[in-house]
Amino acid sequence: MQETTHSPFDVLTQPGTRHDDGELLRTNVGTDAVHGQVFGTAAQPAAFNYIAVTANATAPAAADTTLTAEITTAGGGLIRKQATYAHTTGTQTSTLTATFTANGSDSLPVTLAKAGVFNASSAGTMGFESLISPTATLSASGDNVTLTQTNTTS
Amino acid sequence: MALTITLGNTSVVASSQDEETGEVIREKRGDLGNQITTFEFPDNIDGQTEIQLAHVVDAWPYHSDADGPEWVESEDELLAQLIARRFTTDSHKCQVGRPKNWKEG
Repeated sequence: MQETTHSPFDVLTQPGTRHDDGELLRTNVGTDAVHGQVFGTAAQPAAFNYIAVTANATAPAAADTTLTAEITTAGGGLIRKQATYAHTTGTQTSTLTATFTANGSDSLPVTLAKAGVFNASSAGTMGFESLISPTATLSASGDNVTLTQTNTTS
Repeated sequence: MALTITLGNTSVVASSQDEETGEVIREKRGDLGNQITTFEFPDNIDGQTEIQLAHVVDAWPYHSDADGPEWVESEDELLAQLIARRFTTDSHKCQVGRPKNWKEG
């Protein structure tokens, strides 16, 4: 079983080895939702704490509203997951961490190349998008990858 | 209600992103002094405790440059014990429960 830890920003491919990577992009619809959450007077949009993955490696764009070719295999281990949220008081940052473990229902091998952050377990709004680099290849049932997304407000 | 843990953070870092390179920059925030890092876990995590522990270990460097938290508190006593054990080394001790003399700032 292969276990790797990746982040859209900071990637740990092997213990003690860190690589920096790609740009976290807040989408246009994500910006709208964040403003609604913070300043809106109507019902606030749900929080963005679901992470989805795809093998598609096209660069994220602000106009994106869906994660191209999001993995949605029924019963699979790589489908969208609610993440662990963490925040340190006094800072402008938070993290979202999720682990994806391939199982017998998934089409393997698969190379995960991009992640999206949504505000629902299905459908919903994609607020953030980023490439995973280096990409993470899962070859067999039980292979897993942990993604940690860093979010900064200013 | 989601399970939470709180960790005593004595060496806060703030992670930000270089807009040009996308590289994560960890800025030490000594001005903040002691702070609390809170983790909120979703209700349904496969492999529950093992994954929860892994998430804390993985994300901790984004919140602190200390070897580990000074203390851990959680309504899940087993998880708190596991986290304390994981972060306790020859040179660092992580205790279960907030010390009475703990102060923020």
